[in-house]
Amino acid sequence: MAYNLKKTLPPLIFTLHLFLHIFLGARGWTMPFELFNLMLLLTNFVVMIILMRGSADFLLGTGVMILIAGHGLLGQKLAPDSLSSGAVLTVNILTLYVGIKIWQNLPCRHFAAFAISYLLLFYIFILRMQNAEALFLLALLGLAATARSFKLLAYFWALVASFSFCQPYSWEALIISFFFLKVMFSLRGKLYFPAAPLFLVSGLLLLFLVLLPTLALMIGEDSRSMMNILKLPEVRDAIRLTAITATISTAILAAFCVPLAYALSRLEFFGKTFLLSAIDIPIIIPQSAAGIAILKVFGSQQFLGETIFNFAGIRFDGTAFGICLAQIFVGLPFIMKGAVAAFDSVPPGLEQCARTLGASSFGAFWRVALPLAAKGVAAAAVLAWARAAGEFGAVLFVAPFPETAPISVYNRFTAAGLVETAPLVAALLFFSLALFFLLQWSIRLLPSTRREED
Amino acid sequence: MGAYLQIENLAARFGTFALGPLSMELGKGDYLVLLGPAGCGKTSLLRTLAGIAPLWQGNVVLDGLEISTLPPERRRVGYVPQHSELFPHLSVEENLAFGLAYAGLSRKELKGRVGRYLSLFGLEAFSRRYPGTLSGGESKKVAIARSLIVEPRLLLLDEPLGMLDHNGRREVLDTLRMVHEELGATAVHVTHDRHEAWRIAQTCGVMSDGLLRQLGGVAELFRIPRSRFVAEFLGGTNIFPAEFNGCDAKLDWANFDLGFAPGVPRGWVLLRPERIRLAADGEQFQVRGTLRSIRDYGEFIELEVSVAGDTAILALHIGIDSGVSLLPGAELHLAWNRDAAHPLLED
Repeated sequence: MAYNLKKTLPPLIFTLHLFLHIFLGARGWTMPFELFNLMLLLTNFVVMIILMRGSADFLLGTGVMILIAGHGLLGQKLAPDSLSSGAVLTVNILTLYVGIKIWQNLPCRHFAAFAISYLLLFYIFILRMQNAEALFLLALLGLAATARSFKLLAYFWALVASFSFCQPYSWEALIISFFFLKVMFSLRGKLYFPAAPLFLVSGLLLLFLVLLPTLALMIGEDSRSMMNILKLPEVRDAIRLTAITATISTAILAAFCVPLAYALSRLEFFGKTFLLSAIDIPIIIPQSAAGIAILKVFGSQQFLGETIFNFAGIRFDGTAFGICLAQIFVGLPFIMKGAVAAFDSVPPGLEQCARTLGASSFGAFWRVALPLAAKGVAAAAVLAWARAAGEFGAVLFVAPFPETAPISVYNRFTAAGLVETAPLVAALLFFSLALFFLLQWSIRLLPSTRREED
Repeated sequence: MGAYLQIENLAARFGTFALGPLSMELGKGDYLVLLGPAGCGKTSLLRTLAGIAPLWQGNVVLDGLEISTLPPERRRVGYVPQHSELFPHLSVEENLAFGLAYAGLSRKELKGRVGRYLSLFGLEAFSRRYPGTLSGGESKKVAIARSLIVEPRLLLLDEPLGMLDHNGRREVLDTLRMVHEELGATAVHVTHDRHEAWRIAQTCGVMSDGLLRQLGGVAELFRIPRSRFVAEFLGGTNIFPAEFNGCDAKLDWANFDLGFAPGVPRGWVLLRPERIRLAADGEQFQVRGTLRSIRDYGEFIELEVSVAGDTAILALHIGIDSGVSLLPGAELHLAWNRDAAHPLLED
């Protein structure tokens, strides 16, 4: 039966095609002497000969013949000219080829995914969107290229969905969904414990809440307006001032907090728990309250502020010193917490060993504890720097002028509105994110205390 | 002029645990193994000697110098902790060179010294590796080399063979022998494993509850334990309560002639299993008993013989006595010479 079918089906299809070509042409349904239709007939004949000689994939060949015949029958109803009709035919043959290969070589769920994807694309581009045939062909090319693997298919659908449903945030949606898929496909480890991947998914969803506004801001602004705004002298001054004050604040914090963190990690004393909690105060109180609190003590009308001015000639309100003071205030918990945890992870036995080898207690700190805690301390310092550079509330009360970058953003927004401020914010975001990731990456090169398992 | 290491009335307190008072002496080049069960204060003693744990009272004189008041970096006492504690951020050769930074050597001398110790400890192949990639035995050897390279006057080893696999133990044991015999280091090695002591020790001490119970040569400690604790800890079985009367020891099930007067009214008698034999026909025997069980270890046979009610004694036999049928329930005559029984005067 199968043998007969193989011998008889190709000539049958060709004969049908020939009959329709002539008969329907005579009745004026198609154009029998049009070049495209004649070429289809010729191609159909060639494929039939190849199939009859038994040297080709029967399923594929027959399918191609039916496609050719169908296209010949429909003629140019599908597309306005021969070129477009040819394109449609090519894409259809490619889709057929991929479909048959998937059917033959892969488990049938792949074929099911392929077929469902095809129907969905048809629904989206032909039925739902009007006049989107070209897009449909493009999508079919993408489907043909990706259908052989679920992973690629998922990326393909993320692309299609981002651009057809997520306007005007299509690029943001694309980046986020690709990131999400990359995470999911790279999942390793305790997959037999399904709670963890579930938690991961739910956590990522929340993370996107953070990512979306950030990405939208960065992608939404064109680079020229960002460059223009960065050329403004007041913007440059604000960024320079922010970078300098945040760096000085972080240096001061590191100089005092790293030794303090070591002491807290190594010593037990009365009030240690209280001290560790007190470190969190700047996180707990609102930033505006922090600003007022600083002014209440260090303001020029206050006793301590006045005294410092009389002795050292330094004022805090409205000066860079005040900016640093506010930044130190809010940055302190970040560096302290990280540094204490970093020193806690260094076993005291290592320092004791260093002592028996001749190192003084300072030597043991400098050559053993500090290098081993360096990674955590540096990460904490980066966080403190970022916190200091981004501080708005406290700085606004202590020193609204000279303008730091966050204050400059606020002033610009109140004066000129959202549209004028967005390019500046986008530029700042690029700048700070680039710096942040660069620092994070360089921290990875530092030694760590983690010991490999035996 | 006293001994090389003199410890006098050393005492320390760690929480509720009290160490000492404890006194002992050690000659130059001696290798002392301190034995004791977990929690007996072995590690605390080492840490106190190294100066990384505080000392309450007492004197420690090392090579004629009072060190108990010195900070650890000036004591010149090497300490190899149980977990090696190699510096994970430094390679093996940098670990070795760590202490040499304080020795005032030139760069060339330092390199030479590190190279010499690497080859001495068979660590050349590991010189650039990091501690995280070393096996337990390799780490331990690096830790020992790191301590010895600064030429300490005393080396303290905390369970150096603990938590190692068979090969690691042998490797480290060879290293320790080399340290003792070729480098002539004076060392205190603490462990809970008596077999470890027999493999390497010259002098041996037994500790319990923060106190040094007995100190002596390995053979002496094993043959003439002073107390029941020491005898039991060193693997002694057949320990029976006894009353002493002159040269006689009176047990529940027999009377022994010790050959000397212990001088205390009561104590224990240790009857060495390997000195008990089956009496030949017609030979005078000490006790008659019933064979309870027999276990063949290949090298020797262990017989458990009940002699009076619940009391059972173990006898170790080398070779099988063909004249006796050794089946449980058989009646046996056990004999031993006078020196098989040893009185234990303290608990």
